[in-house]
Amino acid sequence: MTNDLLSDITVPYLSSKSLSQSTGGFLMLDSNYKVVGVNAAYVNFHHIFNEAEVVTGHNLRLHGFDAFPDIFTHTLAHALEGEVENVKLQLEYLDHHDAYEVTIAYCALAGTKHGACIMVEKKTQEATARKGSFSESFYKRLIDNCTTAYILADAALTFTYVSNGIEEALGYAPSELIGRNAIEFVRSEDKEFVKDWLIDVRRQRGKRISVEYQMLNKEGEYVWIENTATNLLKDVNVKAIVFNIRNIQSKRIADNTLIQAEQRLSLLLNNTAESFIILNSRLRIVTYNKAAQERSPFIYTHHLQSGLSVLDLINKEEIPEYINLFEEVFKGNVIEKEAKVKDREGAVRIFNHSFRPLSSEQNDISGVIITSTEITERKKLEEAIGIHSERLKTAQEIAKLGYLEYDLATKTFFCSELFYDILGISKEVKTWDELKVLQQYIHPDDKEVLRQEIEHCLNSCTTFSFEFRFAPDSAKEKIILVTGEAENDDTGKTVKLRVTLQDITDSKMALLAMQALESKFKSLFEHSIDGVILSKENGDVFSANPAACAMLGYTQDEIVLLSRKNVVDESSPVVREMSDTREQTGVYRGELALRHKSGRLIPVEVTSVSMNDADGSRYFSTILRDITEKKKRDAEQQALTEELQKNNQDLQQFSFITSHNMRAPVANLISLLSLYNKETPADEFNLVLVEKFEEATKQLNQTLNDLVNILVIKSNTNIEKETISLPRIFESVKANIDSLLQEQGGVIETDFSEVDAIQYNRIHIESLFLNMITNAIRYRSPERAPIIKIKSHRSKGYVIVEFSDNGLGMDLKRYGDRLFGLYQRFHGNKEGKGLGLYMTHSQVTAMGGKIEVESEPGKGTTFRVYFKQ
Amino acid sequence: MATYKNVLLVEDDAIARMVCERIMKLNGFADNVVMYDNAEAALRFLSSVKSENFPSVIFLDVNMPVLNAWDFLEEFAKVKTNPVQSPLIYLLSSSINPLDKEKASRYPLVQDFIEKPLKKEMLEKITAEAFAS
Repeated sequence: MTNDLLSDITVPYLSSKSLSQSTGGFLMLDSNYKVVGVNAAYVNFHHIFNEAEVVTGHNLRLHGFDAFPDIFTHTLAHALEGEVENVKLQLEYLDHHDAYEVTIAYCALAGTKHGACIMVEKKTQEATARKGSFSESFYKRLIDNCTTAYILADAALTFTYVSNGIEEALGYAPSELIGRNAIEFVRSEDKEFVKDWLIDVRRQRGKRISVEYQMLNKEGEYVWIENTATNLLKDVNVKAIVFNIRNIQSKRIADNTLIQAEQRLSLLLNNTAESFIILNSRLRIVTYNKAAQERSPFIYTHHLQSGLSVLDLINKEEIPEYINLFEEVFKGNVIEKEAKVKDREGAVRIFNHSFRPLSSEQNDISGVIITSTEITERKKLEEAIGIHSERLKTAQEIAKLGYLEYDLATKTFFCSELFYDILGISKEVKTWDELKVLQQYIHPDDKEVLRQEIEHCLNSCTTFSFEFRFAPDSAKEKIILVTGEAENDDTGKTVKLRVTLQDITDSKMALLAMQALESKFKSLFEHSIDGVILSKENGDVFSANPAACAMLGYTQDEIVLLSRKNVVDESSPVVREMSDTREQTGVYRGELALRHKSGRLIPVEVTSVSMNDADGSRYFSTILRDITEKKKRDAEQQALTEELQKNNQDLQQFSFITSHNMRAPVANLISLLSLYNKETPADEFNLVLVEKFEEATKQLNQTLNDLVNILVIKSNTNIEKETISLPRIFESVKANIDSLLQEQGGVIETDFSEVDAIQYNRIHIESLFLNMITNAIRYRSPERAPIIKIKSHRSKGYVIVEFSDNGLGMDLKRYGDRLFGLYQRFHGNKEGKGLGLYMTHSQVTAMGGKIEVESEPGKGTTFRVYFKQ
Repeated sequence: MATYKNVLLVEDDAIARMVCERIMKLNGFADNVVMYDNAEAALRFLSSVKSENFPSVIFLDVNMPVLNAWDFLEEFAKVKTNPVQSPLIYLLSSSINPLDKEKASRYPLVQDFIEKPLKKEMLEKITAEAFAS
């Protein structure tokens, strides 16, 4: 029923749907205040003032309108009675600063019934509308002068307003279209999807939706238009669906032509191996070929697709870079870009992408063409070449090789960078004359030779190598090694000269220094007082210096034929130790005996070092120092030291003994004195003591005299020597003891046949003979008459005089060590004082001789006196 | 009664012998002093003397002809048949050689090394030591 009623309403609300969605409030009552229709907006409004429910089919409860201004209920009553047709009321709801415009109108209902309609509109936006109203005419003018047509339609899609632009687009006057429906004039084939589009537009409020279709124009032709519609029915300022119609007929035709052309082109391009992508001015892909799918700069993200923006195909972080790139392209530049991509197999592929501007007929840049070429192989090749040339350069730099190439025909030349470096020239040489100027820096002695070398090289087409000195202004002189090579053409004519330069100053200097060092060593080697022998690992001598030759008695020629075994006793432990030590530590120092050519051994101090020559083979450098003299000196020193020590001991012993002998009589004297009876001088015993006193004093005197004698002998080693005839000495001594000898019935046999003279001191030898003979008589055997034999002979630098007797003899085991000691007596008789042998022995040893004794108790004694000659 | 009944003195120097005997007698050190001028004779005496007359003390000169004190000591060790008879042996010497003193200390039979001349004080010391032990 309500629907029937509603269909008769002339207010611009057509369907309950639009009614319910309307922001305007709507309430319809019949004359009995019964609610015929109401929408949600009204209910919202109603409840601001009135708590009572509004329900269709029920009467509006008027008492609930207390909160409403009185005028509302009065006006409503008048409207229901048909007294007023249309009254507008302004109501303000102050809490929310909301104002409502309420229109109460009389309306005729279906049949003969009548009623009233209350319409409520929120007036909040009215201020805004009013504010902008002053420029409304401006917008209108703008719209009317636009080539695009603006059309407003109501909810029923009936055109309520049409701008002047429609004339331009379709040829109609705006008035011709007002009141017409949007579906009219649409080409019948398009109607279906246009209807869908319209429903879509109406359903989606505020959304712009475009569509292209053909419409009938004034001339009765269907033309392509683009219609963009927006549902602004709820917009209080518009309250309409806005259509925006543009004639795209010419564009469409052009597009179609283009599409066809593009299709043809793409057909063509898809079958070429070259890849390309064409972008429009908005960077959308217009077209691309099959190859591009594989090689485009964008392959690593998505598949290519026409219409896609390339900016959607690349990684976000690359966008700024690409935008810059495209900006450059749109300025008319061609950009080349290289990219490395890993393919699915993980292999690195390198592409060269070229971005070129695509110009339209008007020379405007309308797009971009991207062509891509895989350059992986080329790149590899380039890299390889790069490495090679880098290597070549590096090699040149390492070798410090300067290079000059001279073309004889053109008289042109090329110099490498290092050419200048090596020569030490900072200025680049450009002309042949400038090059010639450089000659002045060549050392005068080398200049002509170098010129000849080059000339000869060119004439006979050979190579040359020459060292020259070169000193550019104020720079240090360099030594340059130049090697040149001439090149012939087919006819044998020299056409080119290639020259390399090398700075060999340092190595040359080093060489010279080495040579100087070598000559120093050589001179050291030749003139050293130490022998130097160089031998191979197997012991073969390969070089020896003159000192070594002299030391071993060989000539230079002979010595190099020797081997180690000829010089040292290889089986000796010392030699083995030497080899071992040198093996382990590389060096041996020690003393060895080397065999002289004559066979005798020479004591040498050896320093042998294991060395390696330039080829790495081992050899030994052995330094020899003859220490024969040193050995001799050492031995002498040793003997001297021993003698000194012995003398020292002797002296000490002597001092002990002499002091002992001095003290003995003194001790006696002291004792005697202590026994002397001083109180009774007449004591009988005192006389005895005095007697003994005398004896002791004499004893002391004797001891002193003996000591003086001993000291004379001891202190006087530089005694005059003379040639002494042994027989004569013997005769003179014998004269002194003849009576004693005869008394004992003794005989003396002498044999001086072998040696009859010695170099000695006369007094000493007399004393010696006397001592020896006296001793022999003194210690005779009581059982037999003494027989004394004296014999002289020579042995090893000594003259030996032997005194043998047949006397008592001695136990040498007991007495041997003190035989020649001072005050040593070995026989009980009183005659000896223990001085004779001591004195004799002292004299003999002082002269470098010695005395040996052989004796057997009861048999006899033999003294052998060695006189050093 | 003297300190010791029998004392042996071996000394080649006649004056020293006389002086020593006199000092011992005067100080009541020995009743009977047996004296020899050489070691051989002294050894012969010791090997033949009756045990009751065996000397309690022997004074021995170090430097003597033929057999010196060291020879004597070696020989004495051989002839000393009766172990009970171990006399106190003193060496007499005018030597100041420290080696002699050191050598003396190596002979266990030797009590002491006395520097000549033999004095009264020395005899008293010997007496004191002997009776102290």
